[in-house]
Amino acid sequence: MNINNLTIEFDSAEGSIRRLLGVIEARGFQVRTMTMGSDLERANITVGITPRDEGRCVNVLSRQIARVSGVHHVASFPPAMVGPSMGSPAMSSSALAREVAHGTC
Amino acid sequence: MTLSIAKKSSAEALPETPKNGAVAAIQMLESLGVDLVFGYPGGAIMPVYDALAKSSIQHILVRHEQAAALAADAYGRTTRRAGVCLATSGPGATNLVTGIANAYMDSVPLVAITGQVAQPFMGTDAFQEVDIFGITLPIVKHSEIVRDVQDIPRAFAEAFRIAESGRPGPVLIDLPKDIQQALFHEEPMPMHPRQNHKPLSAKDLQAAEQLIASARKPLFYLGGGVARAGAVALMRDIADQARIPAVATLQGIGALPTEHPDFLGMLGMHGSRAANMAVHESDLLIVIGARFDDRATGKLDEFAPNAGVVHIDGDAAEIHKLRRACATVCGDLAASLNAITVAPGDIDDWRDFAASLKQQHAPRYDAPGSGIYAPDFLRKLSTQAGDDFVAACDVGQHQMWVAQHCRFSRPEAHLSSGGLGAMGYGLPAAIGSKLADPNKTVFNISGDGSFMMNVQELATLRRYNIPVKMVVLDNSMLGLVRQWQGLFFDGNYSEVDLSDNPDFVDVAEAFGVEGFTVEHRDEVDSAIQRLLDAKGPILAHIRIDPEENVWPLVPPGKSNTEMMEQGHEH
Repeated sequence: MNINNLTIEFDSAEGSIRRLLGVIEARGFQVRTMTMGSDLERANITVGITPRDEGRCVNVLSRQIARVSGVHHVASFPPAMVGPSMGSPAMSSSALAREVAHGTC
Repeated sequence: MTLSIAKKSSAEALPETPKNGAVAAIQMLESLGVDLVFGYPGGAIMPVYDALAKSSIQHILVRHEQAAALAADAYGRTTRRAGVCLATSGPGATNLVTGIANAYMDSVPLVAITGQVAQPFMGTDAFQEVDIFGITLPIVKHSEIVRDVQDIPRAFAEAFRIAESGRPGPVLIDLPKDIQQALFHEEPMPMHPRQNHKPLSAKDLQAAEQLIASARKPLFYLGGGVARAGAVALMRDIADQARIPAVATLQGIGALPTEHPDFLGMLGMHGSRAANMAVHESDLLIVIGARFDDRATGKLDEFAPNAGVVHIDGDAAEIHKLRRACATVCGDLAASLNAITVAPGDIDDWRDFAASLKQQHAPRYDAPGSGIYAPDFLRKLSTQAGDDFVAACDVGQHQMWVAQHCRFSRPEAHLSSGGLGAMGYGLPAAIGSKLADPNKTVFNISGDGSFMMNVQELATLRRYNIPVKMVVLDNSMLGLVRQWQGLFFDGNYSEVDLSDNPDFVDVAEAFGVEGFTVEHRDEVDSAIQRLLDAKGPILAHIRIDPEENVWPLVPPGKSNTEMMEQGHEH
């Protein structure tokens, strides 16, 4: 099973986690793993996800998450590099959009 | 009783101090420029209604909360400012859900304000407690439960900013009753600068321009995003200069006037043959503010098989979602259209081909018999009503006939529940539209199935004497379901017979609204004139053939080139 990992940094606000997990599931992905950290203002989660069918694209999902109000960064990592502490660059929603426009979906 | 819908005088303004959260909320709405809200009171929103009664804001009392949300949706589509609806907790809030989902699916600015039980009761299964915040999470652009009375100004300002900016959408504010009743201390509100779109990429623009210049068969594919971004005038300038043939989605209708020489009509399941054939032949789709909805594309694998895509959109999440684009321009849509140079090469042959498709497949209106042919009636109605014509549709056969056959001068003239397909949208939407722009000639075009879904709003028309003109196309059927059952379910007609409908004229008159029935073709002209001449609300009950179908039709799962026509000969 090929698990994609997404790290999402967002405002700590009531309902944020429900909202983000709801986007992931409603857009056709299953959450397999999850870790979370937070301070008073910001939180981040790293989720391991798998698509429910082959038509689902992680980059499209990343952009759908990036447009959620209160989300600051979305980054995708290969399975071996879970979490922001591994040094992978987080990406703003606009940068992410530019990157995928020139790559796969 | 008929109530005035004129603006209230400033003498009724709210007192400055002391104030509670409800007063702060209403004053915040006033300061945000809200002058009209749609709603229905109840226990958990009573402090807000207490403040509302003393404010300058006009409240339209609907007879079901769903109508409040749908009317606010139409108000938002018409003005491009968030429409506002109010409801109490529990059932009041859940009744808003269809309207909120409608606004979400069609990207309409809307702010829904719900009362909530007091915070100590939240989570205890209290009377009329429901987690409306949780229920609506998948269908809002944003939402918030206000937990501190001092947060009211920020929460309201943020709600309107989010609802109206970027790709518009609905925002829900849930106000617990104790927050409404808590003492509010006036404090200066920190101002958050409006978020600006990132500058457009010159490289992206250049890539798009080069593709357009080198295309031999370019085609504009226009969606609802053009109107939502306030980019209609820009789009029309570009279309007039580039002379590239154009098709539109259901939500994109009106971006170009119906009679524009290069406009081929709506594409998709019930689109025109000219539009669908042009898409199939095109070598470059220039997609502007559209999202490749399945009703537009048909079988996606076979959609526009010869075309590359230039996708211009305000929402990065739509880019490459369903169809990969060769070039993308992502940012504020009006800014994008302002910046891009659309200069096609020599496309005279293609333009001529598109024009010949349009001529060859123009709809015919010479139906046999003496009964009323709905497409012809709608064409005549919209033409005679002129540029002020507005059609607020419901969902079903009549909705498609309106899209196919009515003349529209602008996008706000065509109010239709596209993404959600919510029967019952039409009458509340007509109310919202008429109150947003009283100078327009607003029709609710409905079917006998849809009309019954919000029929109680006849009382709202009567209460405020709102001169909405209703056309109920009555085939005593759930016509589109019957059509599909006939075509795709071996004629096994299941629960589509509505021959026990009430007499719609009697219904209208019971609410104090004028009504009349039309049954024969030779009555059509006088019926249209009577509708146009009416000063108050009026209902025309139009009997049509129960066997009439909507054509063309792309069967589910088929390519748009596999359209079925009348007689199924194609």
